[in-house]
Amino acid sequence: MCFRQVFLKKRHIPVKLSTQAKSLYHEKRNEQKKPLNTLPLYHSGVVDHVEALFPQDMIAKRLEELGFVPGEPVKVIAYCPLGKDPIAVEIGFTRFALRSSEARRVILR
Amino acid sequence: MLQWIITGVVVLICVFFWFKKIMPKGYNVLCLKMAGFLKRLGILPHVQKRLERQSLLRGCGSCKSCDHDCH
Amino acid sequence: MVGDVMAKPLRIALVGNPNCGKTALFNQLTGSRQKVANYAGVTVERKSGYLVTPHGRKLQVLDLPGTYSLLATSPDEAVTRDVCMGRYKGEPAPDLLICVVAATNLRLHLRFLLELLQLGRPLVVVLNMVDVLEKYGIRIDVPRLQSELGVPVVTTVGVRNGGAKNLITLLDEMMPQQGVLHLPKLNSSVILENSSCVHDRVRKILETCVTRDRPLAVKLEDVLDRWVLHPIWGMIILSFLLFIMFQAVFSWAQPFMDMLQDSINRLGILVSTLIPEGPLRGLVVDGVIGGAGTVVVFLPQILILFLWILALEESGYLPRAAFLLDCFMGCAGLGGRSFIPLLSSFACAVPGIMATRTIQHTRDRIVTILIAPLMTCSARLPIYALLIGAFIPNKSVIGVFNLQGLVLFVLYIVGILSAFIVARLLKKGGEERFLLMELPHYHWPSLRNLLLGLWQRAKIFLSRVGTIIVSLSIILWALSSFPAPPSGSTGTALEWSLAGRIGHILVPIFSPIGFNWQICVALIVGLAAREVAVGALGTVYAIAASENDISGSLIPLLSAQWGLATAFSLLAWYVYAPQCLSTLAVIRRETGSWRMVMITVVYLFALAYIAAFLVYRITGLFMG
Repeated sequence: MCFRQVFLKKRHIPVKLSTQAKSLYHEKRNEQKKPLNTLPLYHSGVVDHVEALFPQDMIAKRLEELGFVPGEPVKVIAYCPLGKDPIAVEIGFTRFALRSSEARRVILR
Repeated sequence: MLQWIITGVVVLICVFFWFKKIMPKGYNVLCLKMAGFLKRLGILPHVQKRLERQSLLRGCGSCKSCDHDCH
Repeated sequence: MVGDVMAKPLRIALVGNPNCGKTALFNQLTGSRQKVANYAGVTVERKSGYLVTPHGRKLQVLDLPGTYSLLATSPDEAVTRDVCMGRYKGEPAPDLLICVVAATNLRLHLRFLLELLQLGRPLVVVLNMVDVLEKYGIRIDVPRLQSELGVPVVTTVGVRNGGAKNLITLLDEMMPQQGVLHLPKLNSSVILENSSCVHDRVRKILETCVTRDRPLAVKLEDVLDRWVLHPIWGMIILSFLLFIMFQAVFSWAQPFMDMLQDSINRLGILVSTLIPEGPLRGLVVDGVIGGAGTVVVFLPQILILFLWILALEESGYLPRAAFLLDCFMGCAGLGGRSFIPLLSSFACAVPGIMATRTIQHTRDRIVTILIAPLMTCSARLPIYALLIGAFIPNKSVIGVFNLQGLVLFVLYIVGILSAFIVARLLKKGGEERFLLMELPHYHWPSLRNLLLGLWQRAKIFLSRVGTIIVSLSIILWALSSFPAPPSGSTGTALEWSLAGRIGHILVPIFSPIGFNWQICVALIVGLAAREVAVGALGTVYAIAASENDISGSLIPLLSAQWGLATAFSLLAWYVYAPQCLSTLAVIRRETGSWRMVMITVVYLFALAYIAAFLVYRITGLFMG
């Protein structure tokens, strides 16, 4: 029996899940692919796809052109001094500086 | 005396240069009027021709390639 | 298929990704025979030159802006796309496209090449930077690559002398006696539909044509970037580099500047002995030599600053600096791309403002242009040096820092902080700002390219001096010398002249901030170019340009005649005042609107007046 706490307006309201809901939850979690801007420093990942945030997303198209294609390994090589925006990544043999919002479009396996 | 003439001419050339830069259209008109004036007096044919050519130029000459419509 | 193209002279265009070494190759091909202009209708640079092959064939070479894809996202890329497709108005399609790819980064560059091949135009591939391949232990099978792509492939080393030999030989071979272009018969390339198709094809080509001799060597970037991009070490390295750059500009340039000043003084004396007494002597010595001479003295400083900026750019460091500063820039509401234009503005706002072309975001670009004049440009230095020398005692603070140097540093910081505040005030909304910047490989800046860049800069500077500043100095000399004072009058000749009278008229406007009529005259003069104001002050205080360095003898005079409050107020004025017609002219050209120029003038004058007023009154209070 496990509890999942839901924070609701700064009050802890423990919620009991049914076994069905629990397994669904775990499945979702394993399936969840992380975007590039959550990759920790000096860690590598593999690109799954590039997600357009809205139709006619030029940035997503440009990311694909620059080599962020399925199967390509990508590594985070630096973070900005103040927080995580922008980040520097290495894909293939090229290094790029990306904003968090741009990196968010790249989904990893 | 010669010095005064040379000095005057040089200063005038500089003034024309800046006039052309600031108001190229006005400059064209000025050149045309001066060419006409010289023609009536019948002197300095070379200067006359040059002034006529200058009055046909467009643009201020500040940028190397433009549509000559900035001013 | 054999393509015969009539050429007279042949027009070839260099095209490729950014950072493929295209510009170095262009320099190799054309040397100094190049010309920079603008494409009609847009503020995109058009670099063209010509080259003569060993067989005497003349070729016109065009260096197109680097682009990642034919799907353009900025005006630069749009121009490249349109010229390649032959649909740019006023620019006929090139007879031959030369696609430059970096052999060290085929993975990225091949994609664009494949895109270009689909245009079906005559094309030749240049594999650049092959000298670096050996270090990485990579080998490329060029004949195999050639057959895969279906077009001729040659190798070059853009940075080495004679490194473009293979390309020139190929161009010669392609044009036998008749001067017609022959393309060798090769297979046509596959039609590619979508991006994953393209990337698959790229992978296939790489697998068949590229081999590694040994396992992936540790790249220079891996080692350096750990430090250079490190949040703490990176900032330390950056500050250190900037500090050295400023030191270099002020101290390394000094001996050259002294030499130049000396020669100019001597020239003045020589000329005044050659020309007999009269207005012409005044025109040449005081007007031309005095006026333009004061400006030419700054050439060493400007060149050293540009040398640093060019070297940092060539080495591949600048985009990394922009990365580190991006978040700080974000506080001011700007992007990291504004860093380079603002840095260049420390030498001269004119190239700085022109460099804003790389900023795609319109609002960011305009804000950067508006605050560029606040970066203390090198032309302000003579004024600062003059006033600091006259009014700040040469003491040391806390034993290490020189008080005069400290005040100079403070003036710079005030300029930078004001710029940030202004940018912050102009910030509006949270629109998404494009960063997506490539961090190129590191390499040693090539001496050849640096010298070529400096030579171009020097030419531009000298031609500006020769035309604008000389003509203005002459006009202002005339204004300052006539009408001549009646005999037996007191006061300097300047007071009676037209310029002097204008100065007196302006005094009521400027006396609240402590300026006397001499300063007003110098301000009018300084409108043309800030540097000229120093020469004007010298003339105003009736010291001939040919007698020693103006600043030298002016300093004791100023410290005796002006109050401290006036001096400080003038300093504050100069931090903000928009007194440079060339800057205003380039703003007009880059933004295409007079409104922007008006806004710049008005807001800078307002800031200048307010700052000078506050400083004057506050200093007055302290002095009692």
